[in-house]
Amino acid sequence: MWNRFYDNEFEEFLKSQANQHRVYPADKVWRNIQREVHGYRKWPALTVIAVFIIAALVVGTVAVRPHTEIAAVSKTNLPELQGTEQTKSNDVSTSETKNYTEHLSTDNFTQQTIAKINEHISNDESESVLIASSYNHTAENIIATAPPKITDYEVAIAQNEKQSSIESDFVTTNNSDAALHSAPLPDSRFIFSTNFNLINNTPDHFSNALYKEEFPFLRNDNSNVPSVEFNSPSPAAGSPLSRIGKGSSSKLDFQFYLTPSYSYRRLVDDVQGSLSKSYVTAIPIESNYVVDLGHAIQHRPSVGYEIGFSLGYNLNKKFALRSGFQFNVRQYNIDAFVHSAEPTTVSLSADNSNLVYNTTSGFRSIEGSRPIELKNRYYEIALPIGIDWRPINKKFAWGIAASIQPTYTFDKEPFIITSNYKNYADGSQLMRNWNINANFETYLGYNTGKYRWQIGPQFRYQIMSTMGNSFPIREYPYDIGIKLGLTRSLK
Amino acid sequence: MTEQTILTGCIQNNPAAQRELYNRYSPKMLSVCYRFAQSREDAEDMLQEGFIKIFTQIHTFQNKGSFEGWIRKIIVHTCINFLKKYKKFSENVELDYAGYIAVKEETMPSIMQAKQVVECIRLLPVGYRTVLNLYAIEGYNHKEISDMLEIEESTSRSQYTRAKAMLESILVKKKILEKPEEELRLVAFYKK
Repeated sequence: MWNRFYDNEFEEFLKSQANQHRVYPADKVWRNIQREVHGYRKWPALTVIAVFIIAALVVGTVAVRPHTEIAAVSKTNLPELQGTEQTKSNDVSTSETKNYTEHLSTDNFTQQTIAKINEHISNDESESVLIASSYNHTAENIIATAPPKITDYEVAIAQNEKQSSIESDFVTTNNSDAALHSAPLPDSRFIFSTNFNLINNTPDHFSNALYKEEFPFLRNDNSNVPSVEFNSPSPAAGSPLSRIGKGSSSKLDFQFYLTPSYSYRRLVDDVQGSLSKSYVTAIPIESNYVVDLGHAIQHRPSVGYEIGFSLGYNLNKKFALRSGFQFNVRQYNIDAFVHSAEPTTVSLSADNSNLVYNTTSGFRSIEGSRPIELKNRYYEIALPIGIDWRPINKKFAWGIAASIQPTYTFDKEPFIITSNYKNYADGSQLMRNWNINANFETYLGYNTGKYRWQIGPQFRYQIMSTMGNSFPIREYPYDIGIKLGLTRSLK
Repeated sequence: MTEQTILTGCIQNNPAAQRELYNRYSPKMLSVCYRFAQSREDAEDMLQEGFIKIFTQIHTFQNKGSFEGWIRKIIVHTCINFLKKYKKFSENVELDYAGYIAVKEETMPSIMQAKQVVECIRLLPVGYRTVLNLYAIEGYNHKEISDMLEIEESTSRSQYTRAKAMLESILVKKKILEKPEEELRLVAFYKK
């Protein structure tokens, strides 16, 4: 009786003491619970790279403004001038009152002017000289048009000083020139350089200050009236217009590259996103032991390489899209020991299945007869698709590039650890043939004419695990190398 | 948050409600796990598995009995399954062995008595400890214990008897319990 009473009191004592006891768990416990309940968050490499590529394309498109064609001067902003001569053109009005706008029309090109411009284009292969004008009118129409008087221009410019300076027609005081080029020279609004930036972005007119800067050979320094000197020297070398005809904006280029690299791998088990301890039951069943997988597998990086070519499409001087073809060899070494062939098992339990892969192995991870170095080697072909951004692209260049590479592994020699962590078995049956790699690089380049030499570090990482989803240990190989490249512009 | 709010939120897989539930019950449940486990790491693993089961099976709670009792039951079963997965309950320790358990003073930090008692429980072999926890503290009877541990009911009884004797010896050594005078067969006086 007393024993039962005592027992009850003893149990009550134990229960009361136990219920008062508290132990506070580590933070990682909650994180692990959240991860299991709400899913394991992988680093969204694909998403980040895709966002980077898209953002770079958007920034490149928005930041590089296209050349804005200057529309004809608005009729409302300009006064009408009184014409002094009747024209004999069939298409041009013979009215004495000639609209200033029509007078400035680009239809009034002379034949000589057209020839000059064509010479520019053919000699300098310029893509940046653009004459946005109409060539519909005949030469007779052009020649027949009388040039306006200087005084008329001065009045016009003075009257429009407040609004903004308008590029006006050129003026010549040389009668002989006037005879030869009876019509005004082409409207300078339609000749512009690649580096021309409008301060006043309206399509109607330039600002006077900008006009002086951008078209020095078109202006008369002594007046506000823009003038053209036919015999004027070519624009100053520093002027943006000096670059007309010297554009090197080839849209396509071809790149050949070679990347010696070091290959290694990252191993992840299913639980925590890193290699954690694993508890296994050894043979015989009665004995249990704990194996730290990080120490059971002894692996070391090894040398690999990448060789390939790519075609680039230059959106502008700074951005290019690239795609091509490359061949990769990546490998790493595993320290193992030779042993007599023995049956082994690889448990495919990652997706809660009971599948088992039975094989034989002649290599052990623990000490055996003699040490041996196993080479896990993969031969891959890939199609890189990416973007190349060159913030600095002059004589010396600096660039950053990234790409996504669908990859096919056509020759593989992977050794995988078996379920008891004792043996290394051939895992080629479990390996994926198709995979995806992500590539990130930065480089320094040197431009010599049509060629660019470049060198820089490159990091290449495999996004999907080497083995299928059923294998519990996920392997992510990566390469770190130095990329050497030669790029040639294509016409 | 009220318990009903927490329960509703957890059924809807609301992370905030789950966190609140975890904060409220994890210290006590980890104490339960700690009494079963061999180490703190094992205890945290048990707690982690237990709460994952709680969150995934919370929709099965039928409001019969207390919510804490339901959680505790899941935690206890998780602890048992964990021990069954990695440990055996076939130790056959003689009573005299209790005298040879070295209770070193330095392994028992000077803390509150509750923790001292729990640490003493943890000194027991795993089989004894498990039966003692289930019977004396969790309130399971020997029939239920035998079903859970897949042992005979008589084994459960004998293991509990041995465990209690061993624990008494340890508690006496630690001066948490005063050993009763055997000739008078008096009830042991124990500190409260």
